Amino acid sequence: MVARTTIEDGERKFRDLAETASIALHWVGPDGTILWANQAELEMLGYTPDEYIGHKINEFHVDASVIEDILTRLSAGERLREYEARLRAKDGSLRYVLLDSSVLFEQGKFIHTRCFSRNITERREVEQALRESEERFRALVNASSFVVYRMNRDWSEMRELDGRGFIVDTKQTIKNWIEIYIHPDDQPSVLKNIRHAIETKSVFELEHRVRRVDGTLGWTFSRAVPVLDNEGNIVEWFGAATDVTARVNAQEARLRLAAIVDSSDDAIISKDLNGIVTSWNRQAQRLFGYKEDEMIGRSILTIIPPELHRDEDMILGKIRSGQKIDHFETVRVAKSGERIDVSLSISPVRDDQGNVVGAAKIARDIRENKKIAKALRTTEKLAAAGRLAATVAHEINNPLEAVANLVFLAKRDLPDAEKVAAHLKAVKQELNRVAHITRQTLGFYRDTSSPVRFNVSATLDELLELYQRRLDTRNIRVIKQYDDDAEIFAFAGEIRQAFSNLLANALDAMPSGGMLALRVRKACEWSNAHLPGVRITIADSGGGIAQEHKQDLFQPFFTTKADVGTGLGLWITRGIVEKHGGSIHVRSSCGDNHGTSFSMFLPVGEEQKSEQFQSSRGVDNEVVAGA
Amino acid sequence: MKIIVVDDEPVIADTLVNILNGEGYNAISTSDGKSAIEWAIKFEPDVVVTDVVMPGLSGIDTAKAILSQIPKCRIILFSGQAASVDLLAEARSEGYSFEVLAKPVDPDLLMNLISRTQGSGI
Repeated sequence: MVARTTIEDGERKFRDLAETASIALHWVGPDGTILWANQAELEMLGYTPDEYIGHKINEFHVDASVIEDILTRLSAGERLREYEARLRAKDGSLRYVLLDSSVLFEQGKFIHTRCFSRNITERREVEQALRESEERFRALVNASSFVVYRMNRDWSEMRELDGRGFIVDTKQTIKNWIEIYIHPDDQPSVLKNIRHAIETKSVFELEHRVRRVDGTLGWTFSRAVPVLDNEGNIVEWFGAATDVTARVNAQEARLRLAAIVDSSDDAIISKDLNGIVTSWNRQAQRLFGYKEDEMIGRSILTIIPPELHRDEDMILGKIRSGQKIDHFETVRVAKSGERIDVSLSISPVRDDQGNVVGAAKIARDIRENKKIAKALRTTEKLAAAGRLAATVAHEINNPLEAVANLVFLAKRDLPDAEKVAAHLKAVKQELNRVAHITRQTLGFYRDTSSPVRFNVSATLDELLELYQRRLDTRNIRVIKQYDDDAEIFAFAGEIRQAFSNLLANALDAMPSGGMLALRVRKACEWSNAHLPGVRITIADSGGGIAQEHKQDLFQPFFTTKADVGTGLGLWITRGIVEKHGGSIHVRSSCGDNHGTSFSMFLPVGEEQKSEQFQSSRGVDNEVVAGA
Repeated sequence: MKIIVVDDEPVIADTLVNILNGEGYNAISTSDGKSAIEWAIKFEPDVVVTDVVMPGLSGIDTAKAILSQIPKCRIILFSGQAASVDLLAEARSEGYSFEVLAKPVDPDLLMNLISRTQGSGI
């Protein structure tokens, strides 16, 4: 009894051990019926004892062939170790298990199996997820033109990267990917963003520098999404990266340009084809007093004086037809109402298709230049007056010499009244000559404060008279072709100064004789047949202008007559002509048919206008070689 | 004493000749350098009074040509313009030193100058 009790007690304890063991355990009879299963097994699969024990084991296996194989091998006396199988839990989910199993035989008779099951579901699921993830990754790689990469769950390893020729490929898992791919300066921000993405299981997104295949630096926009398993844990990361080097470079170039524009000493403004301001740099703000946000969206007419509003039509017209405007001197009005002399350069802005969509305008403050130019003009005027004084002195000295002699003779011949009368008559003639010269001179220097109507050829002839002696002494023949009734409405003194400069140059070009051709013709502007005016040509048969001097002719201080010239004459002349809305051209040849011809066009001008026709035309100083 | 007066303005040359002849000199006038030289060769003047800036030959070139023919001839230049300064400087660099009077010249002063010509006698 005692022995039996002891045995029964031992069996009860073993059964309890088996029942409560943490490893799943069951017995299956020779017919495949589950004879017994412990709590761990029931818990693993989620069944109650009734739902499991007494049922056929193959009902719970997912793969029929597997349980068949297991039973066959066990019946044959084989001992199975770590045999993998898939079981169906009560909730329909799969359980991956590793079985250790053998059959209890008694006298050769199959009593029941003894099967231990280790649950490896979690491991298998992760593996499965990875496999599926990898397949998706592969599909993504193949379908995309992006750089694609896979990182492990904490980004400590790069599993692979297909660089698409942009960055180097990684075919096998590496740990030092950050050194290989990421610019040292960008590593901290990349790591920071990775940490954040891992913590929040959210998308990693960053633009950063990478080392390109050729070793140079490039920019990439990289974006990675976490691949999650069923429980929402990160399995790994899929990333895609695009090459944005060109865009970033373009952006940098744009920023650089913007910085240049902003630091420019010139006002830089852009506007659309309706004259609406689209950009306004810092210097524009400084020069005109309007802030950027005050001007953007507003018409450029805001800074154009009312009487010059028609200029804007001309500007927009030129821009629409794709033309540029260079160094157009005009006036603009600041917010304070102050008038500012500016030089404008305006270029059309085109879109990708080449259509003109607006204009870029550079406005330079030329108030200082204007002051200097004014001082220079005064200087040249004084120099011209000096030259004139020398000429006049000579012209007056000759008649005075004659008068001195005649007075001497009159005194000597005093008793002979007839002789004295003849001498005094000659004196009177000489004095008339002097008076004529002084009148001419006065006319030359005195200027009118407003434009007057005057005859062009008569003006030219008056000047010619002043130079008459020089023409004679140098044997210069004068040929005139005049439209005698050609009149213009202009500042007569200035026009005389312009003519005088050209005549003096022509004379200087012919120290030992030649021909001076003067032509005055009623004509129209070359580029504007509707603008009536007068074309004046002053041509000499001198040595011509050397090719290398032609482009500098109209520049201030340019002179080939270092001893006597101020280098301002032609510059002044052009200024005068342009102020009157005209233009001046020069043709010159040093060859066989040598000579120089200055041809200027002066519009007739309108009586009611005074100052405003100074800005109706751009500079037109083309130099044409060859007479 | 024989004098040639050269000036492209006839009224000047003629009045001066009139004055000089009135004072007892034997003066003739020409209006350009070329004829002055031709006359000088025939006339062998003691003094030549010439304008500087003239069409054709300048007064200085005329004077140089006359001196090469008649070395003892006295040359007096008279000029009305500043440009003659350059011409004179050029002549000086070639070894010529001319007397120069600025127009208008007082006839008394001119005759005073001429009367002091060496070996002169009317």
